[in-house]
Amino acid sequence: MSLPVARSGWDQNERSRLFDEMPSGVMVVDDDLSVVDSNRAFGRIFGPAGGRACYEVIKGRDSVCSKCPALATFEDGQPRVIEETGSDRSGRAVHFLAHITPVNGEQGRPDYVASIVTDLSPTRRLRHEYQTLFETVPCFVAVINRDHRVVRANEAFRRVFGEPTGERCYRLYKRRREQCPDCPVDLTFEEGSTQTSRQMGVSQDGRPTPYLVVTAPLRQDDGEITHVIEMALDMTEHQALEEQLSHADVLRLALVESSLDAILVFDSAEKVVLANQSAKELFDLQEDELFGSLAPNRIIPRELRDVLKGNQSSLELPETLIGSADGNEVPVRMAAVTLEVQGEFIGSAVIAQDLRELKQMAREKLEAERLAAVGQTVAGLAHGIKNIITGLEGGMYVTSTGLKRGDQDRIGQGWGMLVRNMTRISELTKNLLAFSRGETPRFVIASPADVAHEVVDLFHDGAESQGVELIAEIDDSVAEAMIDPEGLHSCLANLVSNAVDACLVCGREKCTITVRLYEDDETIVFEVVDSGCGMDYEVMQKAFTSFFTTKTKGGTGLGLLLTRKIVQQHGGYIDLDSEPEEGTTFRLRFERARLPGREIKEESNDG
Amino acid sequence: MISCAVERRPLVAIVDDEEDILIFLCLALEDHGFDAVVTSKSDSAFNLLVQTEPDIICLDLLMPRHTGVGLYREISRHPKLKKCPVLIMSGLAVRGDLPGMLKSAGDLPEPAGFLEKPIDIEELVTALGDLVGRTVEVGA
Repeated sequence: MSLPVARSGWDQNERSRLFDEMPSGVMVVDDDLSVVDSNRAFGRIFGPAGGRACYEVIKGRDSVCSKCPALATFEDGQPRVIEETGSDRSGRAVHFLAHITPVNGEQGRPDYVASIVTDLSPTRRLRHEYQTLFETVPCFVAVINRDHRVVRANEAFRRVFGEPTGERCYRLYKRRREQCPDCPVDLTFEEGSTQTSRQMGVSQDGRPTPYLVVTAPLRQDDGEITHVIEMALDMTEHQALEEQLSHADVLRLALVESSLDAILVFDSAEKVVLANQSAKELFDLQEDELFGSLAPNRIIPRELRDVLKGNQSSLELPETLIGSADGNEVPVRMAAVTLEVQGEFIGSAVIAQDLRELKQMAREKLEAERLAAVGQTVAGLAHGIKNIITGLEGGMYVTSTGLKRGDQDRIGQGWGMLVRNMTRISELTKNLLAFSRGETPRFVIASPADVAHEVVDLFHDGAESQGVELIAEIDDSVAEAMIDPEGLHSCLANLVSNAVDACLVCGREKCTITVRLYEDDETIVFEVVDSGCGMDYEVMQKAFTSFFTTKTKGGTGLGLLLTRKIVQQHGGYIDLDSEPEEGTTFRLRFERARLPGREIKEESNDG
Repeated sequence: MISCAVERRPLVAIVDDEEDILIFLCLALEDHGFDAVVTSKSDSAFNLLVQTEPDIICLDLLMPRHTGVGLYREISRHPKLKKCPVLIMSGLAVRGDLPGMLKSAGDLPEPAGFLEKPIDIEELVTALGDLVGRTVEVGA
């Protein structure tokens, strides 16, 4: 038969080319089963075939296959289709579909047989892959029909539920007798689309088990959905982890929120991502200054900026000032630290502690110490008064018995006692008034060195005239501080005066008194050292707590009490070292941190 | 007026820092039939006590670990003096404080007597009388 000639010039050449370039492999054999022709596609699969036997080329055999389809077609002249596995040009297994067609000669009998071959291997491989996937995936996979029966299932399913015997899915997964109300399988059948849901099933040992369920429609060729493939993933562990995480999250949030310290967290761009309640209060933050905004400059000290930028890993400021929204300064303790995940800078955290309360407590402690000092003063006072009373009683007794006996000497003695003690009362009263009037010290910024120099100048010549040398070891570089210069002058003067007396009482040939001023570790220290007779332990103990004097005449001993009071007003401490026969050192220590602050200055300016 | 002087008058040593107390107690005790020697709590007080061998010591004690305690300690350790009854007079402590005071000062022995200041002469005389074991009559 010859083809009509088309305008495109379709002819024998084109026909040959078609044979050669067809995407399906074509092989033609004669009745000897020798390959007489084959095309390119065939050659790609099986290699060069010309002149070789087909069973050799296709199957790598050296003899005819049993039930050879080509021979059968030669015999009956009928076309047939077979699916076979052969071996390709590299000896690898190749699965193919072959259409066997007779090529009839003039007698109506096949002269040749053509085999049109389609390589099914990729398809087969794919099918194999899907099969493997179906079987080995770690969740349950089941194919369910419209009757809710499981018709096919994967290994995981079979292991747990046994071979699918057409049991209903709701019975297997949930041990239900009837269909679930929100059945995802039904939904998939209805909607024709993949559905995802969470279902609560029952495990083999009866435990409620959460599942993540995906149901997808399986369509026939005509588009009808006859089955649904259902995948169910046991979420027990996942849920447990979720719970743990949310607990941890809740804990974290609770800790952060309930912390009394202010906590701010910034991202790597220095924007606020978290501010707890304490932070909002301490820093006076408005809503628009939070979450996604840069922190206002007033609340982040300059020194901490490097940490926020990720240039410094951490920094602590024991005491610094931040600004409140209305322009006040608030003392805080602040620490900042960078946050990293696997070496990458992701942000920073700032923790701050309001120091106002601590400072208030420090002030109250100072006040309590002052009251304690007052209490001890009062106790000492009582003792002094008792002695005066005894003196008066004694005076009255001696005078009256003297009068009764007419003993003039005795009367005189008694009267003397009365007079002496009356004087002591008035002295005591005067000193007490002075003591109490000293209640309001005047604090100013002044030089401690100046005070020390004044006292030395005051006593120098007088001491020298009594054979006592007064030496000054005053460090003029000690910086100014908030002190009551008059008060400190009284203290030092009192100590120096006592020292001079101690020297005289001792009666040594040469006695020196050293007045010293220095600073050590933010503490201003005054010392008055004498090389007198020293005091034994008991006298030292007594020195501070009562109206004590070793002086036989005069002196109410108030001086040391007053000294102690003034020292206490400065938040200072007074120490005493003494060795009998060696001398005594009185030391006044004033820590700068405990000296009165600006508030005092403002008060005294008003008053 | 008959006065019963059975033996020699008992000797009381009075130790106190206050001059007026020394004068007062000395005269008052002598009026009440005692002999008295007085001293302040100076270094020489102990030696004086050793030398005079009093029948009773009246000792002023201010507070634990204060002046007087050292002297009391020395008295309690001296072979002869420790037999001498000591009456402690205190200006700051009350009777209830006494055991604590003695303990904190290093387990000192309890004194024979204790009086709070200001001293009442009649009380003192009675206490001293008890300590020497008889009533002493008052000389006019």
